[in-house]
Amino acid sequence: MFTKILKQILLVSLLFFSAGIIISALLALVPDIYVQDTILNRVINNFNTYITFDYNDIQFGNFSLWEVILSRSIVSLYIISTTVFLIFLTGIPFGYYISYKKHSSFIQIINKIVCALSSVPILIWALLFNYIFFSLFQKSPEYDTINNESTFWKYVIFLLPPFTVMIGDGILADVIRRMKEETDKILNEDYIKVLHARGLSTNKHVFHALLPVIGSVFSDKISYLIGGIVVVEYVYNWKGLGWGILNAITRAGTKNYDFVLGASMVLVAVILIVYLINEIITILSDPRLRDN
Amino acid sequence: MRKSFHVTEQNQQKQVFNIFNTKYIEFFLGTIILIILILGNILVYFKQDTLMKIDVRNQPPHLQFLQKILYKPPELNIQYQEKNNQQMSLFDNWFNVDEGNLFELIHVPIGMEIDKEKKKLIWRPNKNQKGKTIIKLKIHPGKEKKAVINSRPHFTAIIGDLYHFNIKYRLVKTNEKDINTIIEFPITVSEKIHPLGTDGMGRDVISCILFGTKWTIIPGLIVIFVSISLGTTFGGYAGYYGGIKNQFLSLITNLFAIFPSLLIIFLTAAIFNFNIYLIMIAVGLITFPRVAVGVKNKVLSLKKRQFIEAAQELGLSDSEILWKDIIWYNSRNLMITNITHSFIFAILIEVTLSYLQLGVQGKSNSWGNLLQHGKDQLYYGEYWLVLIPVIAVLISITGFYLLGDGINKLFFIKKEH
Repeated sequence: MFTKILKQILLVSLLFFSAGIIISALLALVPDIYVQDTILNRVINNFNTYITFDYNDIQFGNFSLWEVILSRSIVSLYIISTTVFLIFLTGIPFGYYISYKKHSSFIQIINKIVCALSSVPILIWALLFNYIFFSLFQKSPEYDTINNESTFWKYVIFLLPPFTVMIGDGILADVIRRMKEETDKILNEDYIKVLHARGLSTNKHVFHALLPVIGSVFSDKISYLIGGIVVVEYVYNWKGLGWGILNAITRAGTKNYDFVLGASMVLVAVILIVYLINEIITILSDPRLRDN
Repeated sequence: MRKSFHVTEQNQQKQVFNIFNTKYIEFFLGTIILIILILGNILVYFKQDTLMKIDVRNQPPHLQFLQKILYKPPELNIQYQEKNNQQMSLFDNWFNVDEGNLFELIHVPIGMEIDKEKKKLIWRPNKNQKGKTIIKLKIHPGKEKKAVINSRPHFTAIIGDLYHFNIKYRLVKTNEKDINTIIEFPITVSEKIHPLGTDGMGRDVISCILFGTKWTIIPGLIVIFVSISLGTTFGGYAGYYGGIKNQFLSLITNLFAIFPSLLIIFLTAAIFNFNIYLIMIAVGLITFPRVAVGVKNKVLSLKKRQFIEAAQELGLSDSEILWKDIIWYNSRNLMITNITHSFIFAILIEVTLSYLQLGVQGKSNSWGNLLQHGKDQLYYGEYWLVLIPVIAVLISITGFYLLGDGINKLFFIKKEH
């Protein structure tokens, strides 16, 4: 078991290393009139920064780059973790429930409505929420206005970006569909049928069988979630890593490719950590993998 | 004879019913939306700048019911002459409603007349009055009363037409003494009718939406060309032959899986200096592993079927079996799904990139540019600049989904079964 986990850790490290090389190379190709170096030198410089993680010397205003990346990471990680939590609270139980209530037309209609609403892109949802907030409540859902609001609206504005990421780009619909399919499959297994026939509760066994599925759902969706938070941060003006990357790429005069490199690596690290957790859960929950 | 007649009648009924079947409706709606997009492209290509109508800036949609949904001027607060000169919004709750009928004009354009009995302003604007004018009315509600305006008026007027502007207000009781209320509302006078209004630069929103179609079809075609051709080739070979080709495909898929695709697209946008066509090639390269995996799985599932084994026994070449029997005859529904999904992905990426100022640059009106501009105007109560492009994006996405589904259900799925 430990060797398998070690193998996965090694694979993740290798992927992290290769991701750094690819991003260093891509950043070196970005045309910049302020940099006179050749592309090869730029690749080497970027790679050096990436290998040594030497962000303390690079200044970003009054702060070192490490401090800036850390402060921005907190914002982005809040949105990612809250989105995952919201999906865990809504999408997974709903997918599980509709598999049980297969013959209820009411539940199926709700499922179709949720899936149709979920297929609307994140950008469109974010702009529609902006419109709804301003037209109905005369409030701006942007982060800057949070200090002027009452406690209730503060909570609403805090939850709006994760909720937008969850509901947009078909993420929720995919999670529901996947959970429904997997629960269907498990409910059709012989051992579950035997438990049903003997009048015993199946919840514990179904949940145990669904655990690796939940892990793989999050592992598959995490890169989409991170793509979504970049858009959401920009629309709602949350100064996270995505907002920082966009500013560093687009604004003339403040182009900062070291920040892009560092921020990208934090996002890649989040994806790889979720991947690793999923693999460990799979190994631990499957007795054939765990014992052999 | 009677029996056969009865059967044909039943068949006819079945056929009539089938016309209203969802697959026909899906195909019909999807085709109409695709045709509109293509026509928009052709119009933009041939007419270029003459298509763009320019008029008074930030003019709300012409129709009153659209104005009510899409326009709420935030500056239209009723000003009360109170001790502290406080402003109060329209949305407070009031009580004890009475009718009032005393008001006078403070500032109106030349030629506007007042009908006090019917509470109307009558006006026929002339050519010199083109643009935006503010009308100010003063209401004397009497002692211990306040005037409240119910509607949110922003009138649009066309030069030469006669207009009756209804002024509706109500009076509510208050503890304060004599209070005069000043009501302000804007009127935009224009030469041309703009059913969906104009933007901050005075451009007709319908023209802008038509111009935006330019950035839907061609970027979509580029993504389809790159992703479908590469995806089908890689997926087909990896599925049919396996070995190194399969390992190479899984390596690429794993590598792309660890990057958020939007992040890579941002970097490529910066590399290609925000050239949307080159960015779309990169988008095609990023999406092709997903297409390839789908094709590979399909090929793997079909490879073990008897008709493929029979074809191999007959001595047909591998490439003929792969491209003709597996992909052309039995994977067309997958291809159609992939094509529609790639098209939708291309539209969304283009809109998102243009919104984030990484896509279409300059004066060109992408729907993303319109949304970017419209979001700033949202806080001035001009909602049409956000909602109309949003509706355009949603309609085009839905159209492609419907078209893909309709084509699959009409032509391919039944035949394959």
